[in-house]
Amino acid sequence: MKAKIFFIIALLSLCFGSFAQIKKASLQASGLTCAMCAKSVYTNLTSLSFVESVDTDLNASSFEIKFKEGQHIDPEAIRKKVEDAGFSVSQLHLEFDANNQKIGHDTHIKVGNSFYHFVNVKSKEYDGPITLHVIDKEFLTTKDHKKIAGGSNLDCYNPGSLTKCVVPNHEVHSLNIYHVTIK
Amino acid sequence: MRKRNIFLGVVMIMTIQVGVSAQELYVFSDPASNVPAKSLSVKYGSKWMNGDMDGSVMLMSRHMAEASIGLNKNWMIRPSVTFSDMYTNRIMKWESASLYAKYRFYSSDAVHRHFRAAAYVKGVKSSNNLQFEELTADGDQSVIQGGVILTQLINKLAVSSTVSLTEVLDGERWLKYFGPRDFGYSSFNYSISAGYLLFPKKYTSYKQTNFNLYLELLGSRGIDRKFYFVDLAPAMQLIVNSNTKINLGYRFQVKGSAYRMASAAPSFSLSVERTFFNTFRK
Repeated sequence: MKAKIFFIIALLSLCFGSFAQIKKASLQASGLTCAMCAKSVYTNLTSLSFVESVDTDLNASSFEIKFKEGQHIDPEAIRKKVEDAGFSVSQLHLEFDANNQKIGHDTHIKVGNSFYHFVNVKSKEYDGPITLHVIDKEFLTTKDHKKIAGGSNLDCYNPGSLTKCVVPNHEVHSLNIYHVTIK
Repeated sequence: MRKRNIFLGVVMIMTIQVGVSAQELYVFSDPASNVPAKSLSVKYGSKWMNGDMDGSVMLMSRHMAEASIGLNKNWMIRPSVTFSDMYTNRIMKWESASLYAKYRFYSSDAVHRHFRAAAYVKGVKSSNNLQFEELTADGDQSVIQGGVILTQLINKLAVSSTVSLTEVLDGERWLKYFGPRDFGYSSFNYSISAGYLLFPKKYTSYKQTNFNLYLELLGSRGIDRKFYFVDLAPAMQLIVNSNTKINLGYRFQVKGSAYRMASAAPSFSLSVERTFFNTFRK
């Protein structure tokens, strides 16, 4: 019996292994200064099913988000919640457990149902927690986006625009693709 | 002239302090920003002023209930009703019902900053007859008003400007009568509003009470009739628990030729508004 339970748990942890790789995020919202505005962002973020808790730094308009274990993390849903509150995302950092993976420029990693496409990163084996900076247009201020897009010849800076950035033969089933760089 | 200097002085003080952090939840006008999507904001508002009634001075009031609903990030609607004794010989009764819709068509955000532009339209069905030159969308007459709002937020200061046209929908307008009319049917209105977040200097929690100061300049000009007025309206606001606003405002005429209630007496306004975030979300 014990062995059976152990086996099931082991199987489950295999299934959700990739989900658990992103546990936290740090988000900065733009377009607001007042606590009432931040409260609307906060309320919206906490309504997401995969969010465990949110801590606000009101002076910086930034939010530390803790995710629930074993859930698919959807950055697009996060962005939508911030915009529904009336504001924009100016920075999204995801804490990612690299777990001895080899990552390089133009490599992809699948976490949950999302693909993370690494841009301008040194090719090597990464271990422990690394910070992924989402650099898609909707996750940056116009100024920051210009800075990043200006130094790159990529033409796929929008979530969902699965075109030339995708490495050939990489099987992709959904359009949840985010371009990230390592902070 | 003195009033103008005071106004300029306050605007200058507000401008100098830019670089700290701002508010745009104006008391006498609307910003280009909307209420959050799927959120509900309910407001009770009142306006108080002295009026002349058969030679004696009496305190008149208007009471208003409104609900602002964020349909999505760009659209909001606001149905409202008013009750008043301003036109009815001291008898408080139903005065008007209205519907306001606003579309935010431009938004540019940066950290602690934004610039937004919105267009709005408001229709008012009022039980009052035309009795004054001033045309409002507050319940005084049956009107349709449409306008454009531009709002800039820079840290703790928010400055907003509105231009609008008001057209009377009173039945009298379409009567076949070619003699002289008592009142005009169209006006051009404008406002410049500034809001400043005075307290807290530094945020520590959502529970902190916020204190905002406002100064608004509101003016109007007749289109089919020659009249104008310019009002100044200082106001203060407390935001409690990051969801409840308490507003206290004072509005007086600085200059004007319009035949209107406010040319004789200033008015006070008091309102309370509670926002329920995420009400309509499943």
